[in-house]
Amino acid sequence: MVLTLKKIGALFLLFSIGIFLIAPPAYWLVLELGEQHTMLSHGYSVVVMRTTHGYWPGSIVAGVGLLVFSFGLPFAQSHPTAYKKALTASGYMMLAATALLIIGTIGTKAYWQNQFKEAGYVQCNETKLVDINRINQSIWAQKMAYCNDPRVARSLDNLSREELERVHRILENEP
Amino acid sequence: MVYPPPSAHAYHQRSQLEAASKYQQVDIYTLDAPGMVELWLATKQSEGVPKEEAIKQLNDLTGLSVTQETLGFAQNYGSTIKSSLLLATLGKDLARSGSLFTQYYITTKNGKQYIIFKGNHKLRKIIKGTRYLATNTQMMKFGIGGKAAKAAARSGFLVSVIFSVSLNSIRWLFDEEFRWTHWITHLSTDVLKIAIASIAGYLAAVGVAAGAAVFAASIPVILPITVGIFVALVVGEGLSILDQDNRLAKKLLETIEDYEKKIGELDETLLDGVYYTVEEGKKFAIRQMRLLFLSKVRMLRQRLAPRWF
Repeated sequence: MVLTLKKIGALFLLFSIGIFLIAPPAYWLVLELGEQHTMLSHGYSVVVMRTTHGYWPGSIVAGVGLLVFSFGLPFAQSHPTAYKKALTASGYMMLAATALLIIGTIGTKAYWQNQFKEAGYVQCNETKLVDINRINQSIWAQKMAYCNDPRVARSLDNLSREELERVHRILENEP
Repeated sequence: MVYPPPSAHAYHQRSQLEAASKYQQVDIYTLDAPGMVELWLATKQSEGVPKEEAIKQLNDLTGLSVTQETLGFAQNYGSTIKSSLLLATLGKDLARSGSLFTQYYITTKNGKQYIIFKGNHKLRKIIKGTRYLATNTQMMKFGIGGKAAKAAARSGFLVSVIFSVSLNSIRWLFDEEFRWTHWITHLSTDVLKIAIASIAGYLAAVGVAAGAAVFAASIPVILPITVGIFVALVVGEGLSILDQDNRLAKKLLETIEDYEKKIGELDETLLDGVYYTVEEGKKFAIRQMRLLFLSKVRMLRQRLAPRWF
């Protein structure tokens, strides 16, 4: 097994793509899950439900699958049996990743919708409140009236936690 | 026949009176969209329906939020859904030939790129052959090989753009605060993000296939396609996070609205200019006509009484 510069370059590229599919999604997954739980536990008047993290388990599995494939690649000619095993493992992981993408998309949304409803929130029409329309994000409020409140619309821009805290303070202090 | 026949005016008056007498009294109220919604909600509430329930009924009735949600989903993930569906069809076909992870490798002969498939080709129903030209229609459709991945990325991009146009157009039609400037800026930023994500997905898929080719190794069909899909998703999300507060769209909106204002001002100046030109032209024409008239009168007088001069 001789690794030429071209082969090293190819391996570097494959590992980079693999890491790219694992590291940012893993970070976003942890961050978003933490934020969702914090928002629910704090009981803000207006909260944002983000469901992008539903895609990331699939992405992580795909990344691991690519890494497995990359590890096996240098042995493609010298140890074909080992390479074949790596290919099969990687193939199953890709399959699982695709399945997780679909399940994660539907499952995450259903799970969080249920959680927010149980916590007493109602879903707002977010286009009335902010100028950002994303499918994986929805705005929920403790009262439907907050959804049509111009003060809420004025205070929300990028839907950061600071903004939601500010809105909560405004609505909490109202007579 | 009535003689003398009624005049046309009298006939017209009678038909107008007949039309008016059909209505006893008509009150017309003009309401804008929010007014209409408020009236509808107030009517429902007076019937004893709680406000939340009334809002839900209104949403169900108009179906607008559902349409927006569906189009938004298709805009963001249209490309991914399309690729996933193709991947599922391809996987099903490859599974027939013995393994879902049927491998392929790319080879070049006489300057032409060929995709060689392993496994029992006789059992497959879609990819029936063992060797295909890289530009083959089926290969292009399923995104197998570099050229096909490019075509798949392009068509995925187009699908997302079409849904983005529809979504933004619906908002333009139904949301009064959503102006043509918003339409342009939202569409431009959407297209930019979709294009970047599609290109990244394509490059990743090609990169994986090329990486395997360097080692002269075969690769499962589903590997580069799945990697391409996920890279496009991660890049798309990364761009959304980078532009979380829609800074790009806002900046673009400000610029367009500035230009709109300037054009408005320019419009006034232009109108003033046009008015001045028309007025001056009119004065000039009158002056010329008067001069012409006077010269004609002078000529006529000369002809009539040349001895006077």
